[in-house]
Amino acid sequence: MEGIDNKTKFLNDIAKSLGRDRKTVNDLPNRSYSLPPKKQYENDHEKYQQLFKTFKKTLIDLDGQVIEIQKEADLQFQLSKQINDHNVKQVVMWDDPRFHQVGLVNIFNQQDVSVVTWTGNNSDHKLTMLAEQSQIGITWADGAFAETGTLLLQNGGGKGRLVSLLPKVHLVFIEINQLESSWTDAMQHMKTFRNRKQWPSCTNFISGPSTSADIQLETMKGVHGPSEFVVMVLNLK
Amino acid sequence: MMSNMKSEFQNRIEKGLNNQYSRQVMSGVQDHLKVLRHSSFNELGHLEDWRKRARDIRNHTINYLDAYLEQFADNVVASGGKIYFANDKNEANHYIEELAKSRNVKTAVKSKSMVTEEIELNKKLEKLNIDVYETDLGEFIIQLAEDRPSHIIGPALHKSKEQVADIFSKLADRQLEADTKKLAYFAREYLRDKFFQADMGITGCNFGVAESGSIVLVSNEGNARLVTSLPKIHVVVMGMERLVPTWEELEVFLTLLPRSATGTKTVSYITAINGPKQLEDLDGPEELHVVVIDNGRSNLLGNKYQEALNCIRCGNCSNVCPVYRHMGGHAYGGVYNGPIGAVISPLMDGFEQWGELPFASSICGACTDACPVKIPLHEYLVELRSDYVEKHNSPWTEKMASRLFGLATSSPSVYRLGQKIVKGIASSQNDDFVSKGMGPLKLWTDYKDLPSSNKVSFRDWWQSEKEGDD
Repeated sequence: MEGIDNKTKFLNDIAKSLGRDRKTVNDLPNRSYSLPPKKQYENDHEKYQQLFKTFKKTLIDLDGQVIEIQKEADLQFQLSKQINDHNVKQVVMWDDPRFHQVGLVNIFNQQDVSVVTWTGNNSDHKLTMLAEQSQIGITWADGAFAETGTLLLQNGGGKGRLVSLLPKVHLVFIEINQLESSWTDAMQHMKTFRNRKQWPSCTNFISGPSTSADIQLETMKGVHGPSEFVVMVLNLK
Repeated sequence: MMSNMKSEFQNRIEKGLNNQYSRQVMSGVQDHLKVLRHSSFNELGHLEDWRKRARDIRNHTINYLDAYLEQFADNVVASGGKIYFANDKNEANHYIEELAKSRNVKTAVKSKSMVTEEIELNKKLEKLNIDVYETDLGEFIIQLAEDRPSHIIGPALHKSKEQVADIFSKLADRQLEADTKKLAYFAREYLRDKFFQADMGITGCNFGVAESGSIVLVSNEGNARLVTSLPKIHVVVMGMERLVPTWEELEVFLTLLPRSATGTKTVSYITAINGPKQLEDLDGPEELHVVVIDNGRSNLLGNKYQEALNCIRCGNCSNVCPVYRHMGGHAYGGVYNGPIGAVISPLMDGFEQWGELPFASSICGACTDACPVKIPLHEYLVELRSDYVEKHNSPWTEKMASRLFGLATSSPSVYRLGQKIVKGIASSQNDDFVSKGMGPLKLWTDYKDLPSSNKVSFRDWWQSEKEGDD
């Protein structure tokens, strides 16, 4: 196959070292590994309340922030707080119609904050530099997993990878019913691409701000990526 | 001639033992991580089940490594990437050097990668006048100090913040305060420009997923994400054993790696890369090159040491090792330190240079108990000692000792004389332990105390008992 060098000899040598002829994945025995049983819930309400509680505690322990939004006024208040706290002049966000639907863009416009949408052309790196200049990068998670406080971001097209990376604050939205429990669920998301045989060029599982403890084990935030990781969980009544 | 000559390894050990700061830090790191690890594993529960599952998956993957590597390679190419199989470090470096020359690369940024340390890639690229920047904070410190990593996870933990401030001050051309946050901020600002300038990004690979051809990177700082997002070319250098068959199996390692490495439930970023950017993408590299490297790993295939290839590079064996605690990571001398380094360095790179490493262990088994994939590390260390003595020149002292023992036990009168001499050498000390032995005892007592011999030997006791009976 084009793009592969030295493959045949390299793999033949491995088979020889293993003391047998070459095998392909079709020749392999079936594998079965058991995983711990999943927690069962009485009903959806109990499930999401429990998951939210676990998610919030876990992510706060990992130095993230979790804010529940129950009504539009909460969103207005919390965004204003972010704008004031971080002296925000410009935000960059994924090209996702849901941000308009929840009124996010309007709120920023009302407060004289420029909104850059990750769309169009970036061949001259103009979008990249606009993202670098923005104080907040805003995304909408493709999944959220309570046990590890993890948000899944599948990047591609209008869902740029740099939006969640260059600004000092990464603000990510999820709806409460997107919450699931564990890595087992996260892996199911990845499996959905198996049948399509097309995987996103970049997938990120994010569980907190950029962190380092490389100097004397003292924890520091924002050494390369965002120093603040804020999750707004939409639970609109 | 030989008696006064210490090996390079012994010199490194001595240096490590005399470095009070480093010893204090390493003890602190081990104790700190122990508490965190205990808590995160307790919360997880069923630890033994997780470890067994991890071992089974790794055993299966390595047993069919050719099949999974082929699947992985096909999927990398299907995603638009290129893959190159390198038998050794020369082939790997040559591929990357040629790539850099053909693309006229001037600046390269790297995220933390043990395998690029192993092949000494930086030196090769620097010879081509390419500016290479390590961007992991710890690795950046090490690079500027022209030092070597002392720990798999925390490469610069042996440096104090005052030392880091001095190192960064030289670069800044002004005196920086020894304040961790300010130092980290300086590194962020300095390296930010380099990320934007760089034409090539270089990473290792924590796990390759065979079913999708994904490169999975586990990190906390976000530099690996910048390295894989901003430059036009992304080069991945990976050991050939880094694979898992599918995403379901990856879950087990995403669960165990952070807990074993840093005692945390997870890390800030787990990033999976599939090929270069796609047509509709507005960021990401235009080219992805994956270099899969053997470089001595196949020496472990198909024999009793194969399970050492199961290692997921968490560094936990170092975190529990009493020998590492005292002599530190640098004493091992190679890229991979701690018990796993003492096992794989001689196997991958030869006994001539690394044959003494397996002797730097108390064989207490703490490493084996701590390994998340259940590599029988301390058993391997014993086996390697035996292999070393059998196949290679054992130290002259050992040969001399065994020759003397043969001679001494050949006749009762010589044995009696020998006992008196040994007692004489050790009798000048008053304690129950001999701290400063002479002659052949010195080699032992340089590093640990020797229990004093009983005042009455078994032979003398037996004789007196017999006389009493009469």
